[in-house]
Amino acid sequence: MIKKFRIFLNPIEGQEKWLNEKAAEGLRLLKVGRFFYEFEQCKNNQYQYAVDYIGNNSNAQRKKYESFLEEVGINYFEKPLNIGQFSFGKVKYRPYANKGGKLATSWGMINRELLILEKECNGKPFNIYSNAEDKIQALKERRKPHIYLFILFLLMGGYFTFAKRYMLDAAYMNSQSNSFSNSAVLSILLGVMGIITIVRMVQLSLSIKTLKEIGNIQE
Amino acid sequence: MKDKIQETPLTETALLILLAMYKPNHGYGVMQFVEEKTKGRVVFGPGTLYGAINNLEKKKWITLHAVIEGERKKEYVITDLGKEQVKSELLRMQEVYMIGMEITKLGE
Repeated sequence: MIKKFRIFLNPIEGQEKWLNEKAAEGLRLLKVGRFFYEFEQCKNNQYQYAVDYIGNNSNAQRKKYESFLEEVGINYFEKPLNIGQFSFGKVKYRPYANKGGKLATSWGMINRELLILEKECNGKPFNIYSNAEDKIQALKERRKPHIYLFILFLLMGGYFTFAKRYMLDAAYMNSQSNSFSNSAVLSILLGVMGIITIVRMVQLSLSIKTLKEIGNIQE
Repeated sequence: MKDKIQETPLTETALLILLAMYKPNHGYGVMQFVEEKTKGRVVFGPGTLYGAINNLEKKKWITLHAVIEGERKKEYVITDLGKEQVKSELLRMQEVYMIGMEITKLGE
């Protein structure tokens, strides 16, 4: 058994590519954790992988999809994706999700935002969605949490600007240096997260645009 | 529900699934049918097939026929409404085909 640690900036395409590279080297996925992957030895290129985002689904929809995958002979691994969720105890609220998926519970949708699909390699690329329309729809589902995060960052930015303007005097009176460094760190952190979110959102939108242009001509 | 024939062209995905379900068939059977009939040109992704089966069932063009115990496989079969849809689509394709043959003179 081989254990590997890995974090992905791009959890869909990046992870997919990495898993297929491992499969080409003769490694088959056994178990997936938050950051850890366990592999076993197999023949080179025996299996192939694809990653699906199902975070907007309800628990019932997820189960239905998983039983369909079993039916058509595809293995799957559930994997967490931590992006823009509020936690209240064991319940997470996802305002961007589709109907029925907004409240995620720990025995339901929490930590099961991604599905890693595995099938025996047949020499052809493993596409979860095989026509332009479905590919566009899948990208739109992935864009939803990014749009939500973007709006959240805008609101937070607005709040801090407002708070700074009207509470500056009080802050200075308390401890001038400390409150400044705190707010600076927070701004930088929010800024970096905000930029990553915007970049991903723009990337997804561009992919959708390209696919739409293709989709007007071919399926 | 809409019980009228849809006028807009069907996607290739929808048409092939409907054809695969003239006999009761399950997801895996549809995948095999399509790969075999198109000689590997069309390979359905699992997400696409899953979404399309759900949509066709919602439109009542196919209906659940049986659940095979043990394997938990769901078999679907095309409905009369689905067959009507296939016929109108084939006529539409024939029309386009005839125009194409006439213009390109491929048949001569």
